[in-house]
Amino acid sequence: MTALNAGIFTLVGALLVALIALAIALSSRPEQPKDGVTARVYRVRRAYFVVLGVVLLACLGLTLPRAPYLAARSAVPPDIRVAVTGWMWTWRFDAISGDRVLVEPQNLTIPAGKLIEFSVRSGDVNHGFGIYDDQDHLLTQVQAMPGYTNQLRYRFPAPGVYHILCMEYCGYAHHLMMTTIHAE
Amino acid sequence: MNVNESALPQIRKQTVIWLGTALALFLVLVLLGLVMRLNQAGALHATPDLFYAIMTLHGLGMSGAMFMSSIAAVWYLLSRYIKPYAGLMWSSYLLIVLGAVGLVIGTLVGRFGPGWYVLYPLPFASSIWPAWATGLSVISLVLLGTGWLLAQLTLLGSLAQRYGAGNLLGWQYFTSRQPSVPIPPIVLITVISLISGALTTVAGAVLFLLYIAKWLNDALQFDALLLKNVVFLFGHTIVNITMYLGIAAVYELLPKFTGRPWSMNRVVAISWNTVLLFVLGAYFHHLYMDFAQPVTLQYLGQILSYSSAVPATVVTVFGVGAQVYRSGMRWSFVPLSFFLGITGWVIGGLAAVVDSTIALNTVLHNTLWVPAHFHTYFVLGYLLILLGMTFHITESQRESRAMAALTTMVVGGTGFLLMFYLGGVEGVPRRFAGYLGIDSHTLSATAQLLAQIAAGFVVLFLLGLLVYLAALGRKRTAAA
Ligand code: HEM
Ligand SMILES: [Cu+2]
Repeated sequence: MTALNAGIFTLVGALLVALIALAIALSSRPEQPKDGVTARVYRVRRAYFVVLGVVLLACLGLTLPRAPYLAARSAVPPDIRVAVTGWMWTWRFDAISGDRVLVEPQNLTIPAGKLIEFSVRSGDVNHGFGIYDDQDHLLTQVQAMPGYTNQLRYRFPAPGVYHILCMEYCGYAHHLMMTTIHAE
Repeated sequence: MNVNESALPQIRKQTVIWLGTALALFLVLVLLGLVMRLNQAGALHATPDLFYAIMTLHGLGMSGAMFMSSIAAVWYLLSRYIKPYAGLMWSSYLLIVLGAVGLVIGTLVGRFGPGWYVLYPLPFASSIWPAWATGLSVISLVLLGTGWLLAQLTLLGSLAQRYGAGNLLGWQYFTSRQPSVPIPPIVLITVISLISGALTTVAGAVLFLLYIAKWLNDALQFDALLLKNVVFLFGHTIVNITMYLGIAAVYELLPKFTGRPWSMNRVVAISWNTVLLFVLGAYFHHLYMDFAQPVTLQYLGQILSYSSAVPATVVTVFGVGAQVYRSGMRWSFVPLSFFLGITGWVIGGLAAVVDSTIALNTVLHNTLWVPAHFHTYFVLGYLLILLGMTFHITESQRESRAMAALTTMVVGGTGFLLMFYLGGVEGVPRRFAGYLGIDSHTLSATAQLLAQIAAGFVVLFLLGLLVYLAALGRKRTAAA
């Protein structure tokens, strides 16, 4: 599921809402006594209630399983473990396990297609570890919080350069806190 | 039933002062919004410390000004039913003004800039602003919170006095069609909002007292995840109930234009009671990307966020529909701004529900999608209702001017919001003082371009706002 889908879905929904609003606004005339009208509105409302309930339940059913939490806690070991620490205003990588990992504190090189587990934490304030591909799509993210370690699992789909931006406001140079990951 | 006919002119005057203060703040804060967009567009070059101080003031100030205006409006409308305590409301006003002045100094002079949700431990971990700025700003927030709490408790108290505390939640409608103590919808919605508001304001006050303690003694350490929960419990709720109070006013005022009563019944009572639950639990969606948060709360966040769409649309939207359909009403400025405001609220709500989907939040969280959705239900939602309420309460008469203003603001606002949404879809992070530093050239160019276009629309919006302000007040007639 991508941000583009979210945008299209919202746009279509917003246009639909606007159309319905227009129809309601135009329906104010001709005038009719309230008593007959109310029953009609309530009939539509009952149908809407049922439809909305079904749609919401369906969306919950479809989307909740895609939440990242259970994968992050899975007992299956990842191929590679990397520790990530956010500082004001840089990222630092440390290898925990796995071969073929090249770690310089500022620059990480990992194999594409392998399951990587990032253990993300912060050395000072809250930061956000956001992974972008070279076409600027935000692929996934997790927060870096002092006192906690957030485990994020990700498989880099293809070799290339990935950009890391900070996704939680962290003060003066928040907009400059970035680094890259190379997948090969 | 008009129990306080004689006190009304006094209360009206007080309300107008509250609303006037809120609108004046709004105007200045929109200008700050424009400054931010221009800076992101590359047209201005504020230093990051100034940008982030402005951002913090804009966010806190807007949330506060809008909340203040919503309290004032329902207080005015309720004063027909309840004993108003003008003195207590003046004390609340004083506290709010003091807090606002303190915040302006703390941010603009002291450069206090941790963002509007002042997430622990950023207010203390920064060497950018001096310690006095943190202290002054946090103390100002406590003053603001105390002022809000006072206003909320005053209103709740006088409502309880009038209807009996046991009847305020409308439970009498669960069992009876014609209960012995009837309450109008505005009372129920206000009570639901203020109970959640007062509870979470207390939570917010405790948080800021802890902040003061930390400010006095830096050796103190708190749990960052716990405090993040408290911050959002407070912030999310205050922002949401502002909208609900605006809706309460629509329930009260729209019937004056459609000529149809909007009465309480069991469905209205039940659905607003569920809102109490949803509004207090939906804030979990702010912590989806904190994987250390218990997983149950994460799922609960999505379920409660989705659920809140049910009472909102089934009861309020259909209520509006039943008001309007075949009513023969004339679309003058006040009902039109209410109607557009409800529409904007629904659209913003849709974008919020999208963002509250965990699987989508991984690519939308803290991108411009977030300011996109909450600016939708403020700029095209609550604000339009506020403009209508203020026009009505001040008995303003310049219809065509107000209509022109409304059109301009809706067009300007829509363009401004669209750029936020596009930014969100493109993955542009929120709260970036500028985009030039981004190491990917296309992302930074796109983000800048969107900011430039947005700034143009904001200017249009501002023009509309000025025209609206010039439409307020009664016409001076030669005969009078
Ligand atoms: C047309 C009027 C407005 C303009 C031009 C405007 C502009 C902006 C801009 C540019 C940002 C920073 C976005 C970013 O993260 O990069 C922002 C943030 C914000 N705005 Fe507005 N805004 C407007 C109205 C409002 C209203 C009515 C509210 C009411 C609640 C509001 C509340 C906020 C909040 C809470 C933030 C977040 C501040 C933070 O991240 O700490 N704004 N606004
Ligand atoms: Cu950061």
